[in-house]
Amino acid sequence: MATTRYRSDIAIRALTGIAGGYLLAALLSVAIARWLPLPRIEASAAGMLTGLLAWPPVMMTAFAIHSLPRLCAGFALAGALLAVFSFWPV
Amino acid sequence: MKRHFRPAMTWLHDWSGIITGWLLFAIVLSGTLSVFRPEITLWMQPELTRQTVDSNQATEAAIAWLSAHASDSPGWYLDTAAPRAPFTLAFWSDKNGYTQRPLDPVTGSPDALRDTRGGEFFYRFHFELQLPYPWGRLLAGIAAMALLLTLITGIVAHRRFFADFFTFRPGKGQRSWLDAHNLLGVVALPFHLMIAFTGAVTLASLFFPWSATALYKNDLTRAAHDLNPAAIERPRSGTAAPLTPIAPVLRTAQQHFGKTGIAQIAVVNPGDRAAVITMTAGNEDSIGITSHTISFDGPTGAILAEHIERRPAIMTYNVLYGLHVARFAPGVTRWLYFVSGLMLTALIGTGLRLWTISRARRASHFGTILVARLNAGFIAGTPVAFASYFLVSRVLPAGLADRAGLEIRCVFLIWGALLVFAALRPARKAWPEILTLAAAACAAVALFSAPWHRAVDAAGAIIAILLAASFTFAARRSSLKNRII
Repeated sequence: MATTRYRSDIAIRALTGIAGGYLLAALLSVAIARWLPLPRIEASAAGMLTGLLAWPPVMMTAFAIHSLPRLCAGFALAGALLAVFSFWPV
Repeated sequence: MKRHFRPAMTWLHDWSGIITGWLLFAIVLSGTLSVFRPEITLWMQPELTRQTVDSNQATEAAIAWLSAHASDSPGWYLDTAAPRAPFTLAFWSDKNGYTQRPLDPVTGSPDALRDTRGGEFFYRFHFELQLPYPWGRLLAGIAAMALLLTLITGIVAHRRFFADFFTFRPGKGQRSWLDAHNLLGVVALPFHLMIAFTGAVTLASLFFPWSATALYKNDLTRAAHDLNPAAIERPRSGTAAPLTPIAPVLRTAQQHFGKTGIAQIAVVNPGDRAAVITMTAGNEDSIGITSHTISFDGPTGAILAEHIERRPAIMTYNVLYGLHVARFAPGVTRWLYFVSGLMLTALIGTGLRLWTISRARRASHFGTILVARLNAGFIAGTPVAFASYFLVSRVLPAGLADRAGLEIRCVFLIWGALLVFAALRPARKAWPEILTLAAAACAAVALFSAPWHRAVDAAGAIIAILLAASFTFAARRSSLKNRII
């Protein structure tokens, strides 16, 4: 089972889950913080807590979706969407 | 990757568990001991025999001593004396850098007390791992997230969640280990999930600051001020001015705080005209931390700012933080934290053991053998190293130079030696040997608690005897024949 293909598959998923998951969770925390109609410190705290909660499920998704291209496309799409909400000038 | 959800999650559970397991084992065990942080400090300070102290008198004595001996420090940070901790715990800087010492409740001086980190060692190690800032904290934060991930994937992997609650089949090798692992996981699952997530929350501002940096455009001083509007930051003026008498300030703070009393006092820029005294209320009646803060002008004692926390998101954050550090917890809750912490430690230990047992049947691979050996070194060796901290503390002479540093170095020396020993020895031999050593070390801690006059000594001895009994049992089980690895 431990072929090069299997190993690279695991490596890509680990990278997507850990680094990509962190990025998605961070973007989510920023997007929430920017769009919540709350004082700055309140919005920051709410964003931070939501982002933290989001990271483990995102990590699990990276190992749950069987098709690697579909997984990467999904992460890229989610990232792009969250980036729009995170960086769109309010 | 696996085609189906459950096998994929089982795979992720196994691997995230084995990669972070040893680190988490040490973090969780030291955190469990930190539940009794002031009690451990007290155990290591046989000079502190006083049962009850007046918290305000102790603070006055501490401030008087610090004014005379630490006037150059940029700040003094005090945890006030309390029934659990009949001493003021002070943090200040002198010519050797920052020091943290208990101060005698009557004289305010640390000189009559032996130099030891006491329970603070386990508390600091729990989230700083004896590494320089911020690396230890970052690592601990990531470990907390990994624990959360491993717990969630573990729930998914676990097929018969409630049926297994009533299942334990002893003496059946791998099956028994899995039963034990499942039982430990399910019984205290809400605690495990809570402690993993809230642990990540306590360090989140370090590894997850992006929402704050985005909104505050890197003006984090402003963010810190918004987080606690009563925390006054002002630079040293350079003009000397004596600190106001502390007793009236303590009385004012007490009137504002009510029955929760004063838990923490910070004096920034002491002896300067810009000195600020900040007092934080205790949280016996609320789960959340820092719910009520008052700042006083240092030279005059006038109130500069007062803040009572009522903002929902910050309160959520404070409650999550408070759930982790459990300062609110009355005695029974504290014991539940301790027992649940031990269960989480055992959960991680059995998980690490299962990883090697389930692989031992297939092929004896160099990696598997090394993991099996290091498992013995970590799981049985960490308790020996931590117990030896107590023993060393009793053995070293009270007046020794750099005594506190020496105590901690001994822990790491013993830990390292046991890991090397375990790496060089077949696991089936190392397990009973190191477990026997752990039992002996715990029994010695019980003996060294003599003369058992104070409650902490008696309680410490009882816990140590129970642990010694468990380790003796484990050592005997692990030396039975037919152990594969």
